[in-house]
Amino acid sequence: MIEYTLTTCPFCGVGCNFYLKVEHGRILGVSPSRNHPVNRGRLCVKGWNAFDFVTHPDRLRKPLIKENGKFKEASWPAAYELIVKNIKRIKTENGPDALGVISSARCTNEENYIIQKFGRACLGTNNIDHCARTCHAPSVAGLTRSFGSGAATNSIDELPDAKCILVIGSNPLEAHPIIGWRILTAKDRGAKIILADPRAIGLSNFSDIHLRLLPGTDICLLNGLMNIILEKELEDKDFIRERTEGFEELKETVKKYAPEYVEKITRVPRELLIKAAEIYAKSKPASIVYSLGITEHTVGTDNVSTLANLAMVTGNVGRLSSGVNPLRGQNNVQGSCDMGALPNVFSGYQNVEDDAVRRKFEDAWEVRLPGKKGLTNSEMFEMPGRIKLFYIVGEDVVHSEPNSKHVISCLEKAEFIVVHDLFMCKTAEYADVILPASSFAEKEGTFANADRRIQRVRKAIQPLPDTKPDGEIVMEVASLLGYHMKYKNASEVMDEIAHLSPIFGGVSYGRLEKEGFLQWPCPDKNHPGTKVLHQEEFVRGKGKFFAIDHKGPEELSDDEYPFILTTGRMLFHYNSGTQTRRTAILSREFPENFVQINSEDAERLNIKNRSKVSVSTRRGALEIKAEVSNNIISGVIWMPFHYADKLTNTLTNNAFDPISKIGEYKACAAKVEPAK
Amino acid sequence: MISGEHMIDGYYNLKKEDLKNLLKAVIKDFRLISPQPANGADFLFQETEDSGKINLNYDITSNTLKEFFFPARETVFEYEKRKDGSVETVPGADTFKGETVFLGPRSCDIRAVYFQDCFFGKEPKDSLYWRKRDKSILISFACNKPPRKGCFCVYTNNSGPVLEKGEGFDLQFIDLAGFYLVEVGTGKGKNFIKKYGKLFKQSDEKILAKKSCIKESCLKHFEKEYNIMDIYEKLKDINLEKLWEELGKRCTNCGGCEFICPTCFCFYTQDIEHSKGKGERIRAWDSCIFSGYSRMAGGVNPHEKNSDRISRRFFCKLYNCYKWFGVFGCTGCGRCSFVCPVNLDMESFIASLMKTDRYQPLLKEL
Repeated sequence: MIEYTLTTCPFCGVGCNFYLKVEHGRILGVSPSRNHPVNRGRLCVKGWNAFDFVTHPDRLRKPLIKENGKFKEASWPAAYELIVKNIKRIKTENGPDALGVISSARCTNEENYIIQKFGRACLGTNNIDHCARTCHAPSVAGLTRSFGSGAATNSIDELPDAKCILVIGSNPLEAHPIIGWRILTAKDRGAKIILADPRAIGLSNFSDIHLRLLPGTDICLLNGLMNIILEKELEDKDFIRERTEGFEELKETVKKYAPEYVEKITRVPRELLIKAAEIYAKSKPASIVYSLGITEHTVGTDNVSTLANLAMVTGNVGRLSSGVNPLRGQNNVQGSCDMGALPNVFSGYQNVEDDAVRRKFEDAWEVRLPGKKGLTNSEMFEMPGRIKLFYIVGEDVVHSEPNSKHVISCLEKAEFIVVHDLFMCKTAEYADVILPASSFAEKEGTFANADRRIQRVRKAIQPLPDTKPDGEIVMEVASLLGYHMKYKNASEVMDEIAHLSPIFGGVSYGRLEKEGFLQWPCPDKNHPGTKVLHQEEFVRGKGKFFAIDHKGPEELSDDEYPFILTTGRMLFHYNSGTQTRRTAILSREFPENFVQINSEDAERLNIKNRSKVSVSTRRGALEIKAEVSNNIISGVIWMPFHYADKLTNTLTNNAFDPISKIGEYKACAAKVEPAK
Repeated sequence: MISGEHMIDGYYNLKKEDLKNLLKAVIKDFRLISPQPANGADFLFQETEDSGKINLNYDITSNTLKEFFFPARETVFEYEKRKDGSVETVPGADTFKGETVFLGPRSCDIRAVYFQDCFFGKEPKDSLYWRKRDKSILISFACNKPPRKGCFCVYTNNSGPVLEKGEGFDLQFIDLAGFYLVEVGTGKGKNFIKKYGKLFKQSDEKILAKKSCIKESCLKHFEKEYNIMDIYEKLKDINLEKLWEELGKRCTNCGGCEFICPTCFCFYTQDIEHSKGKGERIRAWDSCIFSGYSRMAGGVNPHEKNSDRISRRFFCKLYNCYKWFGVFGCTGCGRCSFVCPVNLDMESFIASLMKTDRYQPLLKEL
């Protein structure tokens, strides 16, 4: 008998729903949910194949303990004993802040809640973070300071009704294909699409204007658009007057960004700038969609606030099909932020340094809690030796943090490392204990997607023998350390989250079963959830303009390293590739790493299409194949980052945004030459 | 009793209130697969032992009958390498248990099975397919009106909304208000009627005449503008390079239209080693829209460009299949219009092909 379990896709942050088809405990495939409001029957190629990795023979099936540099299979009790012994020892010798917990945007909300509770209540440290740091930490920081809430202002299903969509630093047809579908549908219905991207991407074929800017010049470009809008008096004066503050400073700052000046810095022809500014300001409602091309810069937070400025100048916030919408990259990166897997907040963005908040959690959790915010991922890896014990749940930091060599030196200097994962990965190689975790198909819980939508994840098969869901593992370790979390099921965890976090007050499994999903804020049982944020007023009251000047990337190209290297995601792979590269159909499409280079640059350097080249930066070098085309502008090269055997992040720069601590993945100086 | 001269063989009447009794009896005697509402407001063909869960008043299922006979993935054989170097293989277990009645599929779904029978029935016959298919009885429900706006079975000329004998059903139920006219299509269907003879009454010519009325009145709901043979000819004759280019730029290679398509039959095989020397060979759905589908060793690909692959897909469905099997590879179910993340579906394609030289999505199912 084939059973069909409705669940949420484990890949990007769109949150598509499908049925996992299971026969006798074996997953046969997926059927998309036709009536689901997020995907309406659509899935991308990853979604259609989101099951192949689940039972892959490479899955870790036994705890592994490192002895004399080699991993040996061990029992769960033996692995736990070793972990507990080392946590106790290192905590006693160095204090709780020598411990660092890295949670996972791949895990459920309930698991993230348990993991941050484990860090705070059991280990006694706020050193808890996760990979949102490397994707949308600037969105949380930037949108919070501009609007008062760090999440997407609008919902995915509103996009087809926009009259104009500005897509910047985002490749939705590849990285968020079902949002890409909404954008394309808007286009098919006559909307104007403005694309800002140095590369020709799928959406270039459907954009009315393509602004091919140099990586790292976003603020200049956006200030340039605002300059034109104000010059032509296309701003929304009423909106600015009634709902915002700080406009005069902004006006002063953007004065400098005349089209000629902007053209010089961004390389975008001035006529295109003027056209784009006019279209965006005149077509209402206009929506802004962005992702990591905006955030992964040393000016990431400023980039985000500049987008907020642009939206407010034209009154495109707080109404349907408008707004500023970060496309979240992982299935539950919104949720893991929401759950407080961050060093400065508990669940529901409640500040750990606020005494009243802390007291509330202390009472509920029956324990004293640390009162100072903890370290971010980037800070934990700032210098070797800073963290003595890493507890890493399903994140491959070696693969995904910038400058892999530096990350490795931090791991090597740590005294003890615990890793949970489905597969052996770069980071796990440095672990002392590896615990075999269960995948999304093997557990109950919820994910929150890019538009704040909390949706169920349902168990379709039992956990593979001897593997356990991450939440269960962490609760067992906590128990052995003397801190007991006694949840009978995921639903009980959600009840506690709702009880302690005002923005989730009305969320329960009962409602999720009945209503399908809930969009936070959802403060009480009768609240329907929130589709559009900032409708009557901004969460912070008035929307705040930040007057921001252009600042280039930390590392600029020079004679020795004449190219700008920028990196990104591809359609057929997902992040560190541990799952998609183990999926037959996906890995067949793009089995190996490559670098995109402009035809003229390639000719000058005598590089042929598909020939081997060496790409190097001040931090490392890789030999990979070249893809020569005009899909990228001259002077810039692009690489995906999915390949563990040719790790793109050995090249990227570990320079960080001072506010959000995100690394600068999107621009560093590089050299390309034919391989010797 | 109706007088003998008007009575006809192979046609029966079933009272509507007897359908429940029939379902209950069928569940006792067979495995029953029928459309049911699933969690999330979709309909799915699913096995059930509770006739109360069946809903025949559905628009379309999100899965197709294909997955029961040609599953998304199945074991061809299991293997084990012995110490002496020989390899032992055991055929994959048959998970299709017992005689199975499929009750409730629509004409387009039945035609799709007929199509797959043609493909998997070519010699040498595909044993994995037929060992399931042979154990199945297909009871189709004709459409009195198009169940949704994305239906276009009339374009493809060879499917619904009401089927004729020999088009794939074992039994066809036609809704005539108070009762169903039941048409026998095959020996399997005849045996089925015999088994539940008490519930079925022989029908007569007067009632049979209503079948064509139902068909006629259903056809009126479609804006039938294209004949499939015209489409066939058009594909043959003109240079469509520009259209393919345009579609090649649009398609993002999800493979969804092929995975959901009830007639698509392509698969890949893969040997998976579960432990040293022990494993299985699986076969799983593939899609001709992937570059890896036709890339050869060494990297050469005769269908390198996306536009080439798109054109191959439409040619397969609307041209080559007809040449190979005498039936078209599209039954007009329209599922491709709700799975496509770039609004590129068969009906829009046909409309664009026949009307303009540019692609214009119809956007019927958003």
